[in-house]
Amino acid sequence: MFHAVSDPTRRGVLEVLRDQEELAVGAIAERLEVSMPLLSRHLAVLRAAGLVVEQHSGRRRLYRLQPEPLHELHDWAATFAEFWTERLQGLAGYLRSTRPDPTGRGDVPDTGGSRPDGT
Amino acid sequence: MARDIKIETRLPDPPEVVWRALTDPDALRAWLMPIEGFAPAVGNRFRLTAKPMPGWDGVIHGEVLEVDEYRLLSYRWQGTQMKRPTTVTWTLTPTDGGGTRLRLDHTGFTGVGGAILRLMHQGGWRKFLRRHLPGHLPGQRDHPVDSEHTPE
Repeated sequence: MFHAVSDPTRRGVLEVLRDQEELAVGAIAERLEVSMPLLSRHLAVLRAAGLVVEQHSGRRRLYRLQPEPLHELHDWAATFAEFWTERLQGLAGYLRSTRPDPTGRGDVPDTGGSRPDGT
Repeated sequence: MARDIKIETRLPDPPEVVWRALTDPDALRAWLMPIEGFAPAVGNRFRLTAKPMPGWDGVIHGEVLEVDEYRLLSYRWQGTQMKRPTTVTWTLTPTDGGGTRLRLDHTGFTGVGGAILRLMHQGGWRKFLRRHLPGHLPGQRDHPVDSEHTPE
């Protein structure tokens, strides 16, 4: 997988296919300005990684991107950094809301401790 | 390539109170997300349920790895869409004012880092991933995972 996307030409193939439903091999070669034999080799690597699928339409070979393996490339850390920042605000709000404050003279007099936003 | 998350926050509540919020299922449901079967005991297996989305059933599997009451809680965290498990660790330290310094470590992320990641995330890739794999972003803004579960 990493090997498949480590090559600039192969990334070019993925980007070309990303913006199209499907493309014939010839059209990909044209857009990337690479020779057919070279492109075929790159396509084989991408097929092996499960990133593209080939379909035959008459004598044309059509390629389509398969997004599922891209899961592996997802930047989970960046996603969860955002997720946890939000959740920690939720935790702070939850703690505020559970602070005993029967007389209304608590340390957060204005909000009453019920808002889940940050301090 | 591993990339770790470390977030620290200060809370006015003492560690005992923060600990309860981190370990009581009702509290977790209030600020984190729906949770089943959780108990702060090593080996305990539990299940978190985020909002299902296309490409992800919303399920996160957890297993408690380490418990040091009022001080440290650690569990395995693996969304069904994640290839490898990650580890979430909460560390509680009492502060002088009677509050708590709470530290979150989320570690064990593997995947493409550096240049390739930047390339994959630039330009049209984010849009593409959102369209084709909406479930891959539990925290993304246009799909808040648990907006209906915030307190109140």
